[in-house]
Amino acid sequence: MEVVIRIACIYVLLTLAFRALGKRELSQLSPFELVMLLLIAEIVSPALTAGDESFTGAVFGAATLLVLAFAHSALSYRFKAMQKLTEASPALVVYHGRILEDVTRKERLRPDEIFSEMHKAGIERLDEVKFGFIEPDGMMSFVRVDHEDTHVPEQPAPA
Amino acid sequence: MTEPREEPPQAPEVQPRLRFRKLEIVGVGIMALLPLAALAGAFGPAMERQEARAGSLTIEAEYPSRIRNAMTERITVDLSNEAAAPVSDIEVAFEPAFVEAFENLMFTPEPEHPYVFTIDTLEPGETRRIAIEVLAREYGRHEGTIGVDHAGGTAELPVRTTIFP
Repeated sequence: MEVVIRIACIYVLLTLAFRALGKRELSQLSPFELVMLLLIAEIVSPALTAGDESFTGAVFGAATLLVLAFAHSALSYRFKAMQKLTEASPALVVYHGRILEDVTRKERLRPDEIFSEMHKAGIERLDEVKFGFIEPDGMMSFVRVDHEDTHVPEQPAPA
Repeated sequence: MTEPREEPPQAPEVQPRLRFRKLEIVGVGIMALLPLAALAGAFGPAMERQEARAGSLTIEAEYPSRIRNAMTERITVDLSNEAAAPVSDIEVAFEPAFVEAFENLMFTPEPEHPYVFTIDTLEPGETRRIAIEVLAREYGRHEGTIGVDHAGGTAELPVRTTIFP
């Protein structure tokens, strides 16, 4: 049936498109990006249903989408290549108090955005950051320098 | 001399073996049946063709056997005169209960009486089409007949449409 194929195609297209857009677009939407997402929804909506307004079509469409999402999740877990194709990896953007400019350019991440995220995490200065990452969901996470001093006890040797 | 770069800690590697909960297997299995059934053509729109003869007239009716709510389709009846002589006063009647299961009916040509079409003369070899464009609304199974009547014979074609919600 047409609606199944249409939804599968749009799902694959949008998954790859969002993968290509980059992580930053996922976490924070600027007004332009919000408009873009709303317009994408408007544009693809008629193509998905092709004028089929029936309840039957909606049930089949929803089931198709859910099965695709489940299959995507299972395949991404099982196959690294699938994960790499559809999901971004975390990127190191701050290394021992130094912003890695090459990475921030690729991620389109400004220093003030890094600072804003640092402040949200309760970090005042860049030199307090040992590692700063931009995660696959677009959020930033930090490992503080003073974590180096945290003593992790060794596992007791088996008796 | 450069200091060796300290790499950020990496997540440990685990063998990515898939394990599913029973509920997941059952739930996803049932859900997967729906698109598979749809791809196989179940619950989709389908047309059916019926043929009959009434004397020297050949009648071909095409109608939706399956249709979904809010979809538009056409019911057509083609009448062909295969005799060497013209056939006159042909009456084609659709069973009202069947036609009224649809909405937004658009007739080509317009009927003489409700759901009854009259063709004065059909010349030898000539084919005439009667068409009704219909919008599916009332879901369920709808049955009826299309009757063709003229001096040389009569025929009745059973028609059945299932409208999915």
